[in-house]
Amino acid sequence: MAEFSELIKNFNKIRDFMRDFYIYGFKSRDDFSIKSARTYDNEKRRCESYLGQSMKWSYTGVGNKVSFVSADCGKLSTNPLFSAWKSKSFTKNDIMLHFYILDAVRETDKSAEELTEEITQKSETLFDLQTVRGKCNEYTTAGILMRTKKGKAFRYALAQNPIALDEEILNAVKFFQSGVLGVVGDYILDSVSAENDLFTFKHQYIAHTLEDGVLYDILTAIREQKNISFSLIGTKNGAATEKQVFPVKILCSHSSGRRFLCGYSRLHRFTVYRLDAVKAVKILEAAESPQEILHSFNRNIGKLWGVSFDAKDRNQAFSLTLHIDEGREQHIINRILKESRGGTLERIRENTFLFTKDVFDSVEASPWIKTFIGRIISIEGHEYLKHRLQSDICRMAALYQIEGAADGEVPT
Amino acid sequence: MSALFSEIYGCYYGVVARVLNRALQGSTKAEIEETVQACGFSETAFHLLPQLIGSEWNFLHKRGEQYYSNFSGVFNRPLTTLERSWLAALLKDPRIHLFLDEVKIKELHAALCGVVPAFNPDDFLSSDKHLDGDAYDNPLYRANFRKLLAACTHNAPVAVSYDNGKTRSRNIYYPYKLSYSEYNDKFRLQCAVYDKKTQRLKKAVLNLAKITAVEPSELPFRATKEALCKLFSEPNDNPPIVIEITTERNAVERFLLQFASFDRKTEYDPERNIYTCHIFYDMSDETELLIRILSFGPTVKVLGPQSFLQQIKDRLKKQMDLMRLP
Repeated sequence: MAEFSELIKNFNKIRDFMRDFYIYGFKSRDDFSIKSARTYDNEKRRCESYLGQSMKWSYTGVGNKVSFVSADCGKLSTNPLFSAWKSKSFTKNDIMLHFYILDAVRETDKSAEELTEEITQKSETLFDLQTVRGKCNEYTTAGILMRTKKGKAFRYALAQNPIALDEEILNAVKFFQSGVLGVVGDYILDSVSAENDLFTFKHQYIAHTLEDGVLYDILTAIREQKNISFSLIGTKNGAATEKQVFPVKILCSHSSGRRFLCGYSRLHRFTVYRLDAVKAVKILEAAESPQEILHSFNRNIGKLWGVSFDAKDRNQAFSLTLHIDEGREQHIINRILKESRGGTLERIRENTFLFTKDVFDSVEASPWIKTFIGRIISIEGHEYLKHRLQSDICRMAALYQIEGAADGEVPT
Repeated sequence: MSALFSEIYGCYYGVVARVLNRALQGSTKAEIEETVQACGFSETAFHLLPQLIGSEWNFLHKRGEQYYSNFSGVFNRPLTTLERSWLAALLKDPRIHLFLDEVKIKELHAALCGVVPAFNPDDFLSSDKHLDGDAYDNPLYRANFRKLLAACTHNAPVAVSYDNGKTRSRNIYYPYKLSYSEYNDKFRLQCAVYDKKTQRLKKAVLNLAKITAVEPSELPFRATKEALCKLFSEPNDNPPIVIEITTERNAVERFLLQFASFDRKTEYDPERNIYTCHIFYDMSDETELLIRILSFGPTVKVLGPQSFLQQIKDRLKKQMDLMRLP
């Protein structure tokens, strides 16, 4: 049996497990039936090792042990899931060459031949020229070494930092490490042994970092205006479907925590894919007419409520009449204005306001509308939306045994 | 992906660099173990120490009871291409002006000239970020932000003038940290203030956008960083919200993701096919939680605590009256 290692070769191996432990938190060993029991044991052990105190466990009613990750993100200074990104395995040659090369070029530049001789001597381990040159070139691409040509030979020196990581810049890094590709900011802090001691983050979805790998590739393709292919993993059955699109935007919902890739497909349609279901992104050839696609996207975004371009009956306007006590509830009016997504709010009579918005798919607004339960006088719009709302309110009244509630049926 | 997931940034390389830097002056085995325990994963010591201390990598040599680095100086890894491209991307974010003045930003632009930014803020589109976010281009806001950041860094009390739209006040606060919400697009100052009656420290949260002036306080400092840290780390003593989640409309996945940022515990009852989630929360978040739970409609049911449950019922009762349902 192979010896257990804390480190892994492939990030995807830990991505799904960590997400399940963090988001769901109720799954026992038996619920991970899609993987083998031994895989489960190993990945759980790794998660425990990376996450330390954040990983907890309890027993279910039937005695199964459940492992889960839980944390009040508003109190965290750094994302505990970043540790998964720091678990890449390496060989003996990798780590030896890393430290011996960086030491050898700290004062002066050297050729691969000089480095091979010096490292072999110092480390008392035989390294061949090809291996040392390969590592030097890898580090040149990574930006750690600088390569210059003198005569016929390449020489390698330690790259100079273009900027000094002073207090002001590090403060910015401490803040932005909670944002897009934040793990890179964490790498920078690690490199100078600094930690975020100044900021906390509310409404933070730390599991987003598990998507940073695919996000990085998608952002590269967006920048280079290239098509991509990827595997889309079914959230229910785990089956993979191959997709090919021109990536247009990353659509985010800060209230639901979901992020989506919006792509323009070969069927000439904008389609969205959950970012947490995207795997194995490959950057392909340059897209055809990317500017036209972007113009078309920009023409459409005004009618997005969430992410849906796909309602059967497009151009669904809805309006919501709300009771708001003008004297005492200005904060509700303020809330609607800041959450309006381009909709309009109009005072139609004393303490009564009308919110109106044109959207592709009004059902997407249903959760937001329900946050106004207790104030909704009426709703106009697509029949399905009206019925869904009335039905939900009736069912809730029955669920909470509100006096006068029927059995949850919508009155006709 | 490969650029992001690399051993160069890995925990083991970081731990080894720290051990070697410390061992330039000599380290005992216990000191090396201490560094590995403090900076590594839980099992790192078991996997790393034999190779690090032994002769396999030849990184250290032993003299007496001390281990010394075989290298000539401290390891300071230069910024990688990936890190530079991430820093270049930050320069396009309006919030960078809170940290750096125009001169510094120009210098950075020049230093990172030719570096391709890892992303562009325009690559992202938020459907629901609040539209009344803080005014990052306001000179007063920027000045206040920097004063408060410095106060948090140096643990210094400040006199804050505050205008909440109804009343104006001026108080001495003991800054702890700046809290940011991407959803609200707002910064808030987490700080403490001495209760005038009890003379005990109590938590306070101020919206930066409502702060009209920040001045250094002449008062001798009384709240230590440890006291502030303790105050803000205290567990919430109010009972958790207990919610049953059904499988209808993918509610389990949607609910657990949406509330993932809270400390919570979830159980599954296979006989009823119902999930029960306990959410531990700060009382200041109660109203927000209430409306977010309402947004799930009948796919979830609040079981308690009683006061929270009553608020749900009150809103439903009002709603039934308004729509004259059923």
